[in-house]
Amino acid sequence: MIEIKNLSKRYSDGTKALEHVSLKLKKRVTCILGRNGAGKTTLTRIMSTQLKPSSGTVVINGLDIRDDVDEVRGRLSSIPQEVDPWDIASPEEHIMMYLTARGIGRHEAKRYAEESMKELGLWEVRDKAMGDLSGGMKRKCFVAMALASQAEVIFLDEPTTGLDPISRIEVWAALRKIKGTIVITTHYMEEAKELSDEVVLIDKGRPVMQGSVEELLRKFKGKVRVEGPAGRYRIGGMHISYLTTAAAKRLVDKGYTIKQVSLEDLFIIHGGGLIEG
Amino acid sequence: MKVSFILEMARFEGLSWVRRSPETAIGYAATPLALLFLIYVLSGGKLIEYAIVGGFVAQIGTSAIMTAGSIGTFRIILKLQDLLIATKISKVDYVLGLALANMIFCAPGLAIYAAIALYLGLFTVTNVLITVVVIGLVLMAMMPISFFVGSIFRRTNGIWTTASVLAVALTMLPPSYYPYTLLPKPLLYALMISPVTPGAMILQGYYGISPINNYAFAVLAIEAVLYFVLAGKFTPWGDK
Ligand SMILES: Nc1ncnc2c1ncn2[C@@H]1O[C@H](COP(=O)(O)OP(=O)(O)OP(=O)(O)O)[C@@H](O)[C@H]1O
Ligand SMILES: [Mg+2]
Repeated sequence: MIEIKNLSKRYSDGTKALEHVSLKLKKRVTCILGRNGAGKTTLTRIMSTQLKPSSGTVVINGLDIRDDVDEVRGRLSSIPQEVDPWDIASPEEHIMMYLTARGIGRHEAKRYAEESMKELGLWEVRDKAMGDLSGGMKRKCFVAMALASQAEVIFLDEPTTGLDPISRIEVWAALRKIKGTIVITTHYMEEAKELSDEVVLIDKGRPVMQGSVEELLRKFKGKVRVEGPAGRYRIGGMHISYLTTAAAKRLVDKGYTIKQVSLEDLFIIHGGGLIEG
Repeated sequence: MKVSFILEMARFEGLSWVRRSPETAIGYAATPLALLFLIYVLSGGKLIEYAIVGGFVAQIGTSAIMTAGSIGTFRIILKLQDLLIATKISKVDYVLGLALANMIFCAPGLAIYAAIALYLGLFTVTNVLITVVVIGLVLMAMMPISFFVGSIFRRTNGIWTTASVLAVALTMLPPSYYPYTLLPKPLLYALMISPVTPGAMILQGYYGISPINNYAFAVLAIEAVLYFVLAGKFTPWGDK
């Protein structure tokens, strides 16, 4: 379990990235959602001991990231959002370097590396220079590191950005096999729905919603999304309302489109930046 | 100390370079070789031993200092350091891994020098051993400096320029390519701050081209330890 206790982060330039965040992440897979700049990376980096909080703390499986930093590091694996490979080293060299850094012996590391590369379809390119791989393949190498890490807790900051649909499914399948806790940030609602036992939505440094996708969508029960020239909410030039199916049907001839409600709608209403009217 | 990580880091940063881009691996041999040529021509062949001896320490020194660039790239641009911060790896493990990488990276250039030394009949068993030890110690003493430089700037351009200046100040100014006895004592003492100075003094002594100076060994050994301790204490690792 991950317990986030009254966590705040203010960067040296004064930006308040997180404000008094308290959360309990008890489920196996938690997806963190939120608009660009909401604070997902900041939160992930603090939980992974890469960034120090301004105040508050995080307790991971009973260990405090401030007091037991070494112990915590032994148990987690964290793949940063913006990490890039060293062009002249190969996927295998990257994974081996990382696994041995996590304290896994070379012999075992080799086996874990092989397994994860095969799982993600990287085995054929294991000895190629990273610079000669496509963007998505590079990204998959970092996911392979986390997969092979054997860590109790895994943090993945936008792991599937830039992956093709097949690769994304490969990653999902691989993540499902992991026994430990996974915290993942994503901008893909479908991914959150597919993977998560729970989602947390963050807006301007504060969590605004937490729960399973089903639970959270319950409040839309019997309603559909209606897009058209007028409506309750506005995003750019488009207006959106949430109406009962009967009410929505009456608008169909007037140039409105009806859609099923999804996680995206929770994001639209609670994710911030929305204009009413 | 995590030996397997150090070995893998060396493969990651050093061997990969030599394997996939071998032409760049003799890069740090280029300047010493050019100087070797100049000194040979200018001194009519007389000072050639100095150029060879100096080449060993200057090359490893330059390459160690320029590693600051890789350290900065890993930290600022690639964010690979972030990946490592969230593990139990210590700064020392990291620097040792990069030091070993450097050794691998420099091996082709050093081999060229060894071949010339062999051809000129400069090597004895003692010489070879001393040379290996000195190269190792100079590397160990220079890497912490490099780590510090690679870690304190917010942008990589600051690192590259500082490393280039330091490469000149710490490897070209010291008596790597000329007899250390030419230097006035105070200046020699001042230049001792660079590990290349005692390194070159030791080699010049054992190759019989300058008087042997026993203090130089002590200075170099102390620097190798001291610079490591200082860098370990003052170099930021992760978030400040
Ligand atoms: N090093 C930094 N210095 C100052 N401000 C920062 C720094 N890093 C992030 N911020 C600011 O903190 C806020 C949160 O950023 P963060 O990277 O956590 O967002 P995010 O939710 O991960 O966004 P994205 O979806 O774009 O990745 C933003 O306002 C950002 O500009
Ligand atoms: Mg982010």
